[in-house]
Amino acid sequence: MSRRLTALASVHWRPAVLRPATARVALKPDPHSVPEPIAVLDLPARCAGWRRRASGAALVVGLCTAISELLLPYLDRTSAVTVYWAGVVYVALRMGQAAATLAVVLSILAFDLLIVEPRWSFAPLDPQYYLTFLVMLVVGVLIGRLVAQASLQTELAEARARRAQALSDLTGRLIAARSPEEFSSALTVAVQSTFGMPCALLLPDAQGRLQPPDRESLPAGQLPRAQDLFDADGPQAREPEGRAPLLLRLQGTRGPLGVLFLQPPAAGGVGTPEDSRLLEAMADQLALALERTLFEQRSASAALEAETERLRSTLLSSISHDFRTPLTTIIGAASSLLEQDHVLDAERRRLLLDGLLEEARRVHGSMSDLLDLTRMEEGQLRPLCEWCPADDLLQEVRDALGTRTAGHAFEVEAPGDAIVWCDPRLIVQAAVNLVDNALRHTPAGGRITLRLQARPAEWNLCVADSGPGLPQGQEQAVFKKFARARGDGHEGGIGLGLAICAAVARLHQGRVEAHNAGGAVFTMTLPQPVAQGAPAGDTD
Amino acid sequence: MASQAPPVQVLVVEDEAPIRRLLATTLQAEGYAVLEASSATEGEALASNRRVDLYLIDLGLPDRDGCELIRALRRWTARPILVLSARSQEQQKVDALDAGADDYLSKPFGVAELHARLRVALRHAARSALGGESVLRLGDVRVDLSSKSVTRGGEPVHLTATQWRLLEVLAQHAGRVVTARQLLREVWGPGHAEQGHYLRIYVRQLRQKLEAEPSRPVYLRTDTGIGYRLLADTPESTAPLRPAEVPAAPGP
Repeated sequence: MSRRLTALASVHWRPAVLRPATARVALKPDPHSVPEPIAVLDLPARCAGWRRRASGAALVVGLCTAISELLLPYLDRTSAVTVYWAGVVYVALRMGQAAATLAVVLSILAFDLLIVEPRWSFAPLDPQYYLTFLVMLVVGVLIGRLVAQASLQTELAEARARRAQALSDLTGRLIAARSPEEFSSALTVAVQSTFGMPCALLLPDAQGRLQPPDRESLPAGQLPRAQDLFDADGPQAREPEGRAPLLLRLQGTRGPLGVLFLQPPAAGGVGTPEDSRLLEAMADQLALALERTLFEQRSASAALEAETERLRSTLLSSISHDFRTPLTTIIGAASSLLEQDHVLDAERRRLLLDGLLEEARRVHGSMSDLLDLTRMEEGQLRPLCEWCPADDLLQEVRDALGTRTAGHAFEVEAPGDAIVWCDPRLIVQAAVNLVDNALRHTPAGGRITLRLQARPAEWNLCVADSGPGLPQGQEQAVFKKFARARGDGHEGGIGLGLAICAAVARLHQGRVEAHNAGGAVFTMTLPQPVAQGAPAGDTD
Repeated sequence: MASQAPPVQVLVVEDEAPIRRLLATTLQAEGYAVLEASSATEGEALASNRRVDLYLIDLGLPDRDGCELIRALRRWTARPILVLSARSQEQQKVDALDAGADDYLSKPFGVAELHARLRVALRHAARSALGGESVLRLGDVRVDLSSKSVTRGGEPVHLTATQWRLLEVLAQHAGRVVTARQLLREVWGPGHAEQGHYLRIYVRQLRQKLEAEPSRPVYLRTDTGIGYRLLADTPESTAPLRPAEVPAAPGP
């Protein structure tokens, strides 16, 4: 992926940093930019620190003089020079080359004035001391230079490490970020901690209008400026120079992604080329991350669309199949009865009528399932719970099943005195669906058990059959809409029975699960509140 | 229906022409005279200037809510009212019953069910006109409303005051559905709300006193989502009159 960052520089950027807007960032060094080999420190602090460093050098020289004075009875006078050199090394290390040079000059003056005879005079008795002063000067300046350079290298390495750390921190945060708010906060934290200046991420809405994350972080008048930058075309997108604050356009592979707004401190700016490059690298990382999320969002919405499309086409094919088949029988039977009445004997007529009635009921059942599930899923249906005696409930299930269980060994088990908390109408419907499902998948004569178990905090309704069980790995898929896990066709109805069970369980804040145990076992588990004084003392 | 008496006149208020046609056909085949109306206004107009023995009202009327029509009719007539409503519209049915309807039929319905409901409603109306029947038979259980006594195989059955009130209300509406709200109001009075969650438990206690097999009730039935009905043996036959067994969902 080609990535491009359009950097717009303001007055605070040094000329060396002003690169063409199309320059690639962080991939290879820019030929126009010459790195400056001086210490990377902020300008105002540098100016203010001069006096401090000069006085520091003077103090060190004073200290060296005092030590030499103390050691003078035990040392040769020329050996005192080494004490001054030690001082110069210290100054070079802590305060830089210029301070070291100052320290060398001060050392020579102090040595001449106080250590070399005659005291309190700049003219030494022995002219050979002039040579000593010269050697002191040359060696001192050399030491200062070497030490200061070594120290600068360390400092630069530290600064580089700090920048690398800041960038990797930002990258880490951006990888974890998913929403524009998270991007914005990751960036703000990184920029604030590295450069100590506020920043804001401006992202476009669906119409391409930039939206600031919160208005307080953006000074008035900056939004139109950012919008102009965002809307401008590629390479020539460049702000007139000499304007602050700073705006950076985040460039993605397919156009601008947003604008980064930075508010450098009034006196200073971003500072060195390294700093500006770091800033651009950060912006680049941000652009990458933003683009990644954009692609993710697009592919997620594409997946959702595909799923919706799949549901719609399944619904259509289910409806056309599950409604057309029975309707074909109905229309055929009715027209046959109308037009062939004279050739039909009583038995055939009866057969046609039975088929007609049964198929009409099937259409009604499919339609009711579809309507019920829709009402449950759309939240139009709220459960009306009451305390229900368990055997009562199971009897209603048996009544609703009618003669359908006649071909199987159907058993109902419930503790005689259990009462459960539920909407009886919904629970009966769900139980009937579970039993119907078992009936469909259990060969004639097979065993089907409907069992209710009550525990203190929950109760469950369990339907176990002696059929072939569920296909491996399909245990939860069967509760999806239009699922026909066990590969049945017309007999399976519209494939909503188990989805309704799942919806009923959800409405009761419960759950429904399926597993295999010598056949399929469906268990609906529902919460049971603590019974509040069920009517007692009225039994007699 | 006996041919010597004038035929029972049924007013069908239903906006769907095919359903109206079906109702008219099957009712006429059973010997009823049928008046047809396609809206609440038309139905009310017919009801006010014709003799009507029974009302069959669809709840989904185009011009007015079916419940409103029922309330309007109930201001001046005590004739039985049956409502027709979609299977899933439980609340609508309960509202209609509370508004004064005698019973309901879920669409789609079987003809056997329709005629059974009509017979129960007409029998009840006739009984009320004669001053009411005070003895009901539920198998070997005998309920005497006037002497407030219940016997089972000749032996007296002891009921608590609440159980008796419950049985009494159900017996007064024998054969017809009584909504939970109606039961609560008539048994416990106005402050009945907190009993609502326990109604099924009271009904179960009553079943244990009346039914041969309480977990498989024959006489005291639950209309899931609507209410309860007491199916007493009819005087002319010992078999209880039951709603035709129509499966709620399609059979395999």
